[in-house]
Amino acid sequence: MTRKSRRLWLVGGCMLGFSGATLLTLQAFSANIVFFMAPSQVLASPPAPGRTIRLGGMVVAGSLHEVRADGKEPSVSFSVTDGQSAVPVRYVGILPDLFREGQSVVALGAMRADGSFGAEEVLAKHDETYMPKEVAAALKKSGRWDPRFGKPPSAASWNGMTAASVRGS
Amino acid sequence: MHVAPFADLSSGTVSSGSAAIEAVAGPPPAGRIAGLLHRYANPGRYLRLGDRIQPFLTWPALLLTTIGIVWGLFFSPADWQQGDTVRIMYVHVPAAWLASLGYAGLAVCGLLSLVWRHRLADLAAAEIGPVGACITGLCLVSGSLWGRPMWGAWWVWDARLTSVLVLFFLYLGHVALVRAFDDPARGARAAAILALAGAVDLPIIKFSVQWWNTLHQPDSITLTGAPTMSLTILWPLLVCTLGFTFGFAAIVNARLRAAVMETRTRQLLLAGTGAAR
Amino acid sequence: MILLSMTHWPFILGAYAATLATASFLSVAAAVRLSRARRRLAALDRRPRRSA
Repeated sequence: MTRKSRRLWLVGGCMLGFSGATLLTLQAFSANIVFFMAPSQVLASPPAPGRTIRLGGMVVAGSLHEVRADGKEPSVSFSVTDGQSAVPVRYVGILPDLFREGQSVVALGAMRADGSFGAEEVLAKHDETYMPKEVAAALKKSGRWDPRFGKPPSAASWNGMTAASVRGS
Repeated sequence: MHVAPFADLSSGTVSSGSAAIEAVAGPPPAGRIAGLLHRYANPGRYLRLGDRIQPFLTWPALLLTTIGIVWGLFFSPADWQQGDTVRIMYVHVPAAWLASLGYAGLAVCGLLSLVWRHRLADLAAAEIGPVGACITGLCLVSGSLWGRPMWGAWWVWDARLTSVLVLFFLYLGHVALVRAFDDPARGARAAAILALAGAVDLPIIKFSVQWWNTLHQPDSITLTGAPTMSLTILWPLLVCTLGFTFGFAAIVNARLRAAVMETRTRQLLLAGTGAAR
Repeated sequence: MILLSMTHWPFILGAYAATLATASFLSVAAAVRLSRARRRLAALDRRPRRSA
């Protein structure tokens, strides 16, 4: 029994040490593991102009403007916010299907001299809410939720609305 | 078919350097759980138990997976913003869950192997490894096929995706390490250490979406809060997850039974040639 | 900008095809291995045991 419990303590100790080391490493590299920076972070400590970063946040409602020049890829401008501050973004190219006002997006690019963000790539980040189309339409119609202004209400509040009852109403 | 338990073999002629006999002739168990552990760590006993439970794993797996997939593909609603693409979730989430669960199993086997020297734990780890690697690969592929139309990228180096990729490599390393040594006991020892050390990746995967900004969305189903998805989507997902889990257990059980029988065949052959000489 | 009507069936079917391929590969491999192991062991068991 003593040999067995000694092995158990040894394995436990090794695991503890290894987990601690991993935790500290992750803590140290935390800033690099983060996939994107929020607008307030970008404004608080502006990265060097031209340095490639990822900017993430919600597309501000009403900020999306499309500039369609002839024979060129569509150019868009929109603002990204984290609720505290907003950064204007310029992007030339095709936006992902899920892109809309109120959607969370992650843009890869660099800050420009005029304080706007020049994006080379825009990714859409959807949230963890999954709801049927009919329910979303009903919520929007009843005025309980506008997708342009943020996350949908909690699932418990609309789970009673089955697709059939929504269609019937 | 009758297969005699391994206890028959402990006549001393078959000590092929492995600890196959030790599990049988283990010391008296300290507690009840340890007793149960010792009881079923006996490969012969396991073989009979595994034979008996196989249909109770295979049939629920087939039934639940079929129901879940048909439900998810044809009868669950499309998501309001993702449309039909949300149906990839019904295979992606079970695969992701099993990737973590399988590795947790690998780690438990590693602990049993290192501390209690259960031979069956080594055999089980060697069988869980390849299955887990396949299912983690499936998780990555289905996630990629989901990410391209929804995010706009096949792959991004965010914390969730990267930690799952690390898990995939841990599985591959485990599969390779088990087979890397001439002496299977040494391979099993090295693989057990890797399995235990790699278990650190599991909480990182789980909490990556909370600790750091990721492109991957946070979990919809948590232990603490209400699920953030419609019940019409949640139910087929749960059925699929349960079905996949049964399927994983069925495949691992079948492989482990085969492995135990193969070990026994090898030992019988070894004993036979030993007696002939 | 909202494209709610989009379908991405090639991606969906790709994911399900990958699942089917993985599941069939794993189960067929397991079934083949199990039957072979059982056959070999049974053949060995049928032979008279020569050990004392």
